[in-house]
Amino acid sequence: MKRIALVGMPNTGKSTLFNRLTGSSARVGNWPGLTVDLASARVPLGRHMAQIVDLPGIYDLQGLTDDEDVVQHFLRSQLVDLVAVVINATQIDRQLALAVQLRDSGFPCIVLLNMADEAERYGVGIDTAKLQAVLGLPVASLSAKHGRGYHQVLQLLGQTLDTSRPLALDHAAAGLDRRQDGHEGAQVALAAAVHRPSRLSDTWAERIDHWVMHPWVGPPLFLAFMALVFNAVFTLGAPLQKGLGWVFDQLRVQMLGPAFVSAPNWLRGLVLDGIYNGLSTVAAFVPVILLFFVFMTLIEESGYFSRAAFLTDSLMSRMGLDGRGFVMLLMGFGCNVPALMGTRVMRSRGLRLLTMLIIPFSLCSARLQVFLFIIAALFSPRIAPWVLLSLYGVSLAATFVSAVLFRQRYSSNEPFVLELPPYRMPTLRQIALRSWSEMQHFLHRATKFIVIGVVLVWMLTNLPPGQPTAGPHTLAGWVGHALHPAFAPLGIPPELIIALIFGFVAKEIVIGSLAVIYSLQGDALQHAIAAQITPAAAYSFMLFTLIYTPCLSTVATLRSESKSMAYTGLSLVWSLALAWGTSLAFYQGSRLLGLA
Amino acid sequence: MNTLASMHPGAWAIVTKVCAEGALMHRLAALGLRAGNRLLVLRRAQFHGPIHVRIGTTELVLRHADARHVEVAACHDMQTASASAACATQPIAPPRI
Repeated sequence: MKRIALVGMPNTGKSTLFNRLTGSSARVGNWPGLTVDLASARVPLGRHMAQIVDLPGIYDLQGLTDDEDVVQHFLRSQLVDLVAVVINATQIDRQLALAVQLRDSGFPCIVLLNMADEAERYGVGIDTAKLQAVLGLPVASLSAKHGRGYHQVLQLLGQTLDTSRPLALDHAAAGLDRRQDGHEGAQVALAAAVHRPSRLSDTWAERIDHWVMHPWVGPPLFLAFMALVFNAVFTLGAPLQKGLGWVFDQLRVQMLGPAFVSAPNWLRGLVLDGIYNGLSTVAAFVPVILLFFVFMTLIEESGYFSRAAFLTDSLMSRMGLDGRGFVMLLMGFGCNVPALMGTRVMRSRGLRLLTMLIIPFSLCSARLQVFLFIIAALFSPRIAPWVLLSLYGVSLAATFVSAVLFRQRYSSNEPFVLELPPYRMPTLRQIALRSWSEMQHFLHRATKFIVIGVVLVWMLTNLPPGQPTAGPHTLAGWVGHALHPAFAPLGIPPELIIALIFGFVAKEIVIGSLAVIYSLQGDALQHAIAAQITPAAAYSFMLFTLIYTPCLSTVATLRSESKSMAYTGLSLVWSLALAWGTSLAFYQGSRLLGLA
Repeated sequence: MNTLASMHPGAWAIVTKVCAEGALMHRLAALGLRAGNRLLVLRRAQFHGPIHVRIGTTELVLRHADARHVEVAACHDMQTASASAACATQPIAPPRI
C-alpha cells in the first residue's frame, strides 16, 4: 500500500482533483495528533493500491497558520511515498516555490499543473518537458474540472510510484527543519520553462468587476443577489420539506402506528414521539442544506464570494471579523445550520469560532414562523411589520454585541489577504458532489445528537407516565414551575416556559407545542395567548425566543464543527444570558414606562 | 517612502520592501508581494476597506492595515515582470480526451 499526499495552495482546484481521483469512495477521518479531519481514499494506480490524502491548502511550509501546522505534522508523522504538489498553472510564477520547497526538503514529489485550460487562455506558456528537466521532478498538466489530461496524470502517478521510495520520518523531520524559501529555485525553473504574458487580457472580467466591486453599485447588487439566493433556497426548499414531512407522517400513520398499536403506551410514545420525531427533525433540514450548498458552490466557485467579502470587509473588520463572515451571517438568516458549516472556508480557527458564535443570533426562518404567529395574535396589522422589523434589528444588534465582546478571546492570527480568483463557471459535477458530501456530513455528525435531544424533551414532557403531554404535573411542568421565579420578571408565564423547552429542539415546533399546552388550535390559541399576556410580555417572549439557545441541529453543528464541548457550552450559556438580560431590560423598562 | 496603502487606483508600482515578520511576511510573499515584483492597484473599497491589486496573474485584496507593510515605488509603465521570462515555449495544453 502506497500513500500519496495532495499538497497545494488554496484555490488550485486541489479538492476538485481529489474528488476526481477518488470519486465517491473518499472517507473523512481522524489522523493521530491532528486537530482536523482529512479526507482520504484508496485508489488503484498502475500496479499499485494507493491511499490518497487531501491535505489542507497552504501557502508554504512555515507552519505559521493552523493549516500549515497540520501539513507539517502530517509529513512528520506519516510515511509518504509521494507528495503530489498541485499548482494553478496560471499562477505558476508564485506557486512553483512550494514544490521547490518540498523537493529541497527531500520529499519525493510530482508536480501537477492544474487549470491548464485557464493558463492557456491567459497566455501562460509552460514547456512541461523542460520544466521536468530543470526541476528534476515528474510534471504533468491537466484540467481536473473538465477532465482534460486526467488519464495522463493517472499514468504518470502509477509510473512514479514504481520507483519512488518513502522518505524516512527522521529524514522528513530534518528536511522540514532546514526548509528554505523556494523562491530562488523556482525563479530558475520559471526562467527556463515558462512564458508569462506581459499583460493579462481579460477585459470582460474587468468590466464585470467594475460594477460588481463598484463602491456604490456593488453593495446594493450584493444585497439583491443574496435576497435572490435566499428566496430561491426557501421557495424551492419549502415544498421539499413539506413533501418529506408528508412521507414521514405517512410512514408513521400507515406502518409504525399499526406496528406499535399493541405496545405499551410509554414504548409507543418513546419510539414514535421521541426517536421517530427526532429522525424527521433531522430529515427536515436535508432539503435546505442541499439547496444551500448548491448556491454556496455557485457563489464560491464562480469567484463572487471573495468579491462580496471585498465589499463588506470594512464593516466586519471593526468587529474582529472579515468580509466572508458577513456572507455567512446573511445565510444564517435562512438557516443557521448550513451557515455554520459554510464557515469552513475560514482557515483561522479564532476567526471561524468568532463567526460561528454570532451566526446563531441570525433570525432564521424557523424563528420567523413563531414571530409571525405571536405578532398576529397580539399586535394590530398596522404596527405588526414594524414589530417584525425591530426583531431583525435586535438580531443584528445581538450579533454585533457578541462579536465585539468576544473578539479578544477569538482573535485571528491570520492577515486578511484574499485571492480573487477569475470568474469561473462551476460544473454540475462540482455542485452535486459538494451538496451531497455536505449533506452526508450533517447527517453523520448531527443525527445521534438530535435524536437524543428530542428523546430527552419527550421524556421531560411525558414523564411521569399517565399525565397529559406537557401538563403541569409532568417533568416539564415542574421545570416550568421551578423556573417561574426567573421568568416572572421577564413577563413570561409557565406555559410559555414549557414552549421554550420545546423550542430548544426546533423553533418550528414551538407553536405546535403551544397548541398541546393550551389544548387549543389556530385562532382560538391566539385569542387565549392574547388574553393571558400583554403585548410587552409577548415581545419579551419573542426577544427571548430570538436570542436564547438555538435549535438542537444548530447546537449539534456547533459542536461537530468546533469539535469542542467547552466552546459549544460557552455559546449556549452566552446566548441564554444575553436572552435573559435583554428580555429583562425590555420588560422592566416597558413596565417603568407604563406599557406593560 | 510610499506604501501600498497610499496608492491610488490605476497606479503601477514596484515593491521595494516588505516590512513585516512571521505569518504576514510569509503570506504576502507567497501571494506575490515580494521586493522586485510589479503590481497594479485596481480599486479600493469604501470606508478604508481593502485594496484590490494585481501582481502578475494573481489578483489580491488586502486590508489597508496590511498594505501599510508593503513599501512601493511608483512606476509609470508596465513592462514584462522580468526579462528572463521571455523564453518561447509551446503551449501547455494537454491532449483532449
